[in-house]
Parts: sequence; structure tokens; C-alpha cells
Amino acid sequence: MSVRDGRCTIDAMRHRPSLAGGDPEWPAPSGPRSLITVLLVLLSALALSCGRGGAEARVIELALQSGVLDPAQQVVKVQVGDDVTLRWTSDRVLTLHLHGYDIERRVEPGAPTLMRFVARAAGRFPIERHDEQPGREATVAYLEVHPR
Amino acid sequence: MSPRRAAVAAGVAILLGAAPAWAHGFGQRYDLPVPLWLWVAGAAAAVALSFVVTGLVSTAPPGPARYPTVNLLRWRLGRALVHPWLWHLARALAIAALLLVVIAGALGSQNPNRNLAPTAVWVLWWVGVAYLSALVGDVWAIVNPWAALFAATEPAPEAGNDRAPAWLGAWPAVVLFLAFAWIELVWPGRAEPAQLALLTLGYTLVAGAGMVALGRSRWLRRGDPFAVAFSTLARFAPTELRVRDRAICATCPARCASEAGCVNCVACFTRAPDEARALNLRPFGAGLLDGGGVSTSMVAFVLVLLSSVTFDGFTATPAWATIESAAYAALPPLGGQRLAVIGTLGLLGFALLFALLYAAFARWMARAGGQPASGTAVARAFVVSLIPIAVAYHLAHYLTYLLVQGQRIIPLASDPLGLGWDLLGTAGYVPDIGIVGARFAWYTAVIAIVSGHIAAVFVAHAIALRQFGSRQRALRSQYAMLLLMVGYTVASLWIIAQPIVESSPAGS
Repeated sequence: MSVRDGRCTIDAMRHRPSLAGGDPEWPAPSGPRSLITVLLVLLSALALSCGRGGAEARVIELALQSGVLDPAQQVVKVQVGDDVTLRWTSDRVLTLHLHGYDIERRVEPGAPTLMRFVARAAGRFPIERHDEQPGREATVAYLEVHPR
Repeated sequence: MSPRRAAVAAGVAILLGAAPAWAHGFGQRYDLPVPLWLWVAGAAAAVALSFVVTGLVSTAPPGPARYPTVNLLRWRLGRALVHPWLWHLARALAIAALLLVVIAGALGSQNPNRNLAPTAVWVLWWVGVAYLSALVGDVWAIVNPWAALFAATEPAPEAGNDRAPAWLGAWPAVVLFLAFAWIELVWPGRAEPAQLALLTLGYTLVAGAGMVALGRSRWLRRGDPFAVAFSTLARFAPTELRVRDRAICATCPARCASEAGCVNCVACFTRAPDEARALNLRPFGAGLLDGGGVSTSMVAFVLVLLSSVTFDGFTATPAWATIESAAYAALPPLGGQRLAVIGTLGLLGFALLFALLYAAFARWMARAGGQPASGTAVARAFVVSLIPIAVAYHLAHYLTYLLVQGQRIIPLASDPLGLGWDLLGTAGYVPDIGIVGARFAWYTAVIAIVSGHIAAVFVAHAIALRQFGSRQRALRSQYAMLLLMVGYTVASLWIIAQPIVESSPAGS
């Protein structure tokens, strides 16, 4: 979640999946007063980012190359209530399956394929790839729907 | 991304793809990681409250702990709960469910999502009954279909309960539980309906043979990994079945009398006259103070139970994905079995790590307590105090999984074999993935883990007062235990603060 122009916006492209854990944008605790600092930062961030601004229409471009996304695109973050459009392009024929929301789309080179839905349920949902060869599947990205 | 990493990731992705990667048996979790601030707040609360609890308990007089109970059999409704007809009905339903799982698994659609067996076994039974055991009581001891089937065909009831040699302890249950955990967490075929049907049938044979060899009640207390696991969790529960008359308890052929008397021993309870029976309400966790230490094999069982649940959580973290990729690159090709080998090593490694850590802390506690008691005696006395943290972690880890994936049973009840039936008119039900909000899930998880931690600290202190006699020695011994528990709690919280990686993202 990032606070920009005083509105509640999320930029999926700027997020990289964190291996170390937690949300990379929160400061790491460093001193004895870190807990209080973290709590204060959090509370103000919550108040700023989520106190105002309603659901948004969000279009997210996702380009698959050989069935793989750029690491920066592997976690797509939106908020509950957002009207989300995932706009997929691919250099080969694939079937993509967004779990939970249970949307399956065939992606072909040339024209983009859309997954459009209202992010009504919070959670972290894998998007799996089913190749032309049967049985081959892998998670290409995660959709994270955060509460407001 | 370096070419080597990409190759490893692709290799892992292909192998994971070969068999759909279901963690914990079957069905995906959609939990959002607990935010960092909540993790920090939870950990801080655990540490701070530890000291509050320590202060409170250390004013209690040393000696055996007693807890308040309310006997529900005083009321008509309570008596209805232990009515033999109700129990027979529950057992008949459990046997019917067992049969249905076997039939659906063997004859139904082999798509795990359309067959009743995977959801019934992994979500409703394994996760659901564990919840029920920890939060309600040892219900499994009453309905256990394998025990009921055996009892119905037993020529001499409860014969042979003295047949088990003492050295056997609960080791059969330890070994079988490890095998079960391996099937649940590592084995690729765990979500396949036909395999589940075979396993269920296979276990029926194992249980039958076990009950013939050891006697029914002995098998249930020492050999049956599920009965032992659920009854272990149920020691935390707020209810107990008790035979109040020690003489009746001592002569009961099921031989389940312990220091605490006959608690949650269905065979003895059934035989006891009405006036000797009690269905007690008790405080959460109080049952852990019942009786003295457990056997060494039970220490091992509890540690395997804890380590496997924690390992389940750990395998969904990015840290494990990194370890898995590294191990995958380091291991020689093993004919496509490399991931199973890594999983097996991880599961056993976790069990070993838990055992070594606990043994080291038990020795430390024994020394700090300044008592003739050996590390082994201390390990046996204190192991039950870790159960509340395990129960709490279990609740936190599986809450949304149970609530979301558990809904699958609604359509599956109408079409258990996946053949397009609609027996109850619910076949078209689509599970609501938003049944609980993310914040609700976060707060419940963190509050559960912190409360479990407090219960654990409380129980450990009560045991220490009994074990070490004097207040000072008890307190001194508990610094070690407190450190272990804070570590375990923080690790549990850390796992739920990690983004779930069901199978490593291709290319990461």
C-alpha cells in the first residue's frame, strides 16, 4: 500500500515480492522504541491511506514471457471493492487460472486477454498457468486483495 | 535473474506441476500474511504477558494444582449428551461417513475437487476434528468408527488390554503419526480420491490388527495415531468425561486409570454406574495439569505433533521455497523424486530439531530448578505445557482454510462421487471465499496465538510448582521454559506473517 496524493492507491508494479517476510514498506524495528514507532507509523498510515477514497477501477498490465512474469509483477496488490482488470499478454498459448475467484482464461500471442472482476473478498490468491502439455502448471503470480 | 536460478525455478515448477501441489493434504489457503506491525505487537504482547502471568502464578502455593469443575450431568441436557443412544447414533454416522469416503474415493470422479473424499478427509476430519477436540472435548474417543466397528465384532469385550509390553509405550502411535504426517505433507498422491480410499481401507486393517494385538483400549491409547493426537489436543479442551470413583476406575478392564483417574476413557465411563460419572466443564488448558508426567514415547508424540503442524506452516513460506530451490540444485538427480526427498528430510529435520531443542531446555530447566530430577523427568513433566501453543497455532493456521474449504462439503454432499447428482439440491453451491474478512482472520489468529502462549506459561508454572517444590526453584527453572515458549510463539507468529507460497512462483 502506498500513499500518494492523499488518496488510497496501490501500485502493483512498484512492489517486489519480499522473501524476507512482512511488507517491505514498513520500517524494520531498530531500537527500543521501535514498537511504538511502528505502531504510530502504522496507525497514521492506516488513517491516511484507508480513511478516504473508495473503490477504484484498476487496470493492471501483465506480460508473460515464456510463461513467466517479470518478478516485479509477480504480486498484484489491490484493495477490497476495487474493480480490477488484469490485462494479460503472452508470447505463447497458455491457460491461466485465478484461484478463489475461479476465473480461467486462455491467453494467446497477439491480442491481450482480460480478467475482470470486483475484488470482493480479501486474501492472497494464486494465478496458475496450465500449459498446452497436460499436467504442467505453475503459479505465475499472486493476487493480493487487501482490506481497506 | 541468473540463468542458473531460472533453470532451477523452471525445474521446480515443472516437478511441482507434475502433481498439483496441495499443501496440508488438500485445498488451498488464501490467507493474507499478517502485517508486520501486528506480528510485532503480538510478539511484544506475548513477552509482556509472560511476566504478568509469572507474577500471578508465583504467588500460588506449591503443590498439585486443582481446578474448578461443573458437572453437567446435574442437568437433563447434560445427561442427554451422554445418553447411550446418542453415542450409538454418532458412531453409526461416523461409520457411514467412513464407508462413504471409501466408496466415493474408489468409485467416484478422480478430480479431487469433485470428489467428497479429499475434502472430507483433509478438511472436515483432520482439521475439523482437531478443532473440535481442542475447543469442545475428546469427541473422537466417543465416535471413533474403527473402535466402534471393532467393538461390535469383539468376541470378548476389552480382552487383552494387558498384552502390550511396557517398553512398547506409545511408540507405535509415534511411528504411525510420522507416517501420516508424511502422507499429509509430503506424499504427492494425498489428494487423489482412489489413493485416499485405499489408505482408509489400509488403515482399517492396521487398526483392526492393532486392536487384536494390544487390546482395544490399549491400542487407542498407545497405537492409534489419530485417537492419541485428538485426545492429546483434548487435554486442552473445556470438557472432560470422568469416572469419579477411583475403585471403579481401577477395576475397569480398559485399564485406562492414570494418576488423574479415568479421564476421557470412554470404555470405563460406559461401564461406570451413573453416580460415579461426571461430564465436567473445566477451564481451558486445566486438563493439562491432570496427572503427572507422561512417558518418554508420549513426549516424542507431542513433539512430533507440534513439529509437523509447524512444518506445515513453514512449507508455505518463501523461506522454505528458497531452501527447497537450493536443496533441489544441490541434490543429485533422484529420478524425479527429489522434491519428495527434500520434503521428507524437512519433516524429519523439524521433528529432530524440536526434540533436540526440547531436550536441551529440559536439561537446563532441571539444572536451574536445582533438583535431583533428571532432564528426562523434567522433559516428561513439562511437555504438555507446549500443547496450548500448538493448539493456538493450529487454530490460527487453519481458521480460514476450514471456513473457506470446508464449504465445499455443501455441494459435495449432493454429489459425493462427482457424477453430476444433486441429491439435496445443493450441488450448485459456490463456496464464499469472503466468508471472513482479512482483519477478522488476522486478529483472531494473533489473539489465539498470544492466548495460547499465556495458557502455556500458566500451565508450565503450575507444573513447576509441583515439580520443584519451592517457589524460588520453580521460578528459576521457568526462565528456560519461558525463553523456549517465547521463541515458539514468535516463530508461530512469524509463519502467519509470511506470504503464502503454495508452489514457488515460476521464475522467482
